[in-house]
Amino acid sequence: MKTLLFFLSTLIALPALALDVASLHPLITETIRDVGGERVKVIEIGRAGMNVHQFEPRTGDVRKMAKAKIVIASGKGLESYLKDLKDSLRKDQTIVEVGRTIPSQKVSKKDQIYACCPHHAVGGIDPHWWHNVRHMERAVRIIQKELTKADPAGKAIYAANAKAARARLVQLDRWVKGQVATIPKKKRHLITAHAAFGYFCKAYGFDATFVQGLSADGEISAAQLAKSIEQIRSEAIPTVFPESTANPKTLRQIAKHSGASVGKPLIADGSVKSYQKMIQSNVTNIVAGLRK
Amino acid sequence: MTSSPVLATLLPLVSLALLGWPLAGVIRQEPAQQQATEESLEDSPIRSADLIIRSAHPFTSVKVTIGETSWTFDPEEDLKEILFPYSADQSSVTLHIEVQWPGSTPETALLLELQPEGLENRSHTIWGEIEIAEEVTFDWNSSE
Repeated sequence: MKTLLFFLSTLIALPALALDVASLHPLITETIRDVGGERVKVIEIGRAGMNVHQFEPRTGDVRKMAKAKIVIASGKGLESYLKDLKDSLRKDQTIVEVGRTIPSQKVSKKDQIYACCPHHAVGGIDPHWWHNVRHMERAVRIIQKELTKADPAGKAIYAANAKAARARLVQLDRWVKGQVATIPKKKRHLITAHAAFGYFCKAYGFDATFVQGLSADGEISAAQLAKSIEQIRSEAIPTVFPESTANPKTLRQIAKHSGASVGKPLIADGSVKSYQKMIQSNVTNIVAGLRK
Repeated sequence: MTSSPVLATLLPLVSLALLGWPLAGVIRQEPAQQQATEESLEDSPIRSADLIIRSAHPFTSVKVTIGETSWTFDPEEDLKEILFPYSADQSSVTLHIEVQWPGSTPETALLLELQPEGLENRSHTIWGEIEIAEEVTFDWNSSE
């Protein structure tokens, strides 16, 4: 009986270990879990498979977030609802935009054709920062700092987990560079529908052409279509790449008229459970398509 | 018996006040905290950065100095959070680096990388043995 009482009193005396953190983007969810481990309970608001450009939290989601001490977003304008969400949360809750301190790639007015969708062309900043693996390494550090700020007692755990996660990302970045090196330099030209791969192209030395226009119906002007076809022909680009969540109609049209083939789809919006698998899948498909 | 006009007015008012009391707390609730914007980051004269080192062989110590401030890495450390002065006009920072390796270490390499908030990574590799000091300037003016 005494043992049972002692056990119960110990249980009562133990502080609650879990730090509740809400995540608005699937890639962020994975990173919070990597860094927080068992010390953090993740409230998944943005789930794998969602349309990150159209998602908005519902009343039920806001209710779930009430438990969270921190709400973590991808940032760079991807979650256009953040201002409204801020008004729905309490003062003691913090909204963290991971992308805020990650270097931005701006989309100039002239280059608006390169934006992923009309909405995300507004601020001129490309929100798809995660396609540069080194940026994801920064994200790990940002999340580590925020978790430590909210739960100082877990500092050592977060630091150790973050170190391990960063080491994995350094390896992944090396792997990407190694794979890209197998593509002849003159063939490193990535043609996709939307401008979701700007960070990837800059980080790994690709020229980029994103053919999809800004019109809401996703149509592309005849002049732009002809320009893209001519470019592919003149540079003898072997493959154009559709995206897993976008209509491949325009790209098929371009491929048909330029003689290029349509590659395996790339994952653009990060709406997946595993960051590493997404990068590996994208790079494998790009290499297979361009090494021809 | 009819109630007085004062009472007839006050009673609904008191009821309303009682109902409104808990609601006032909700209305007056201050919104969640949000970080400063990217624009305010660009204007800041001080940048926060992660200073990261990756060494091919274990080192004895690494000391990095920017202006009057120095940071010393112990052999187990690979990252330090630093602050350094930065202006958009100058867009550069000069680091003085001193590295010491144990005597038995062959010629080796140490990569030093700066990851400042809002700016692209900059890195420099130092080659040497036993002891070496170098100065490197990281510049964000050139096209990235």
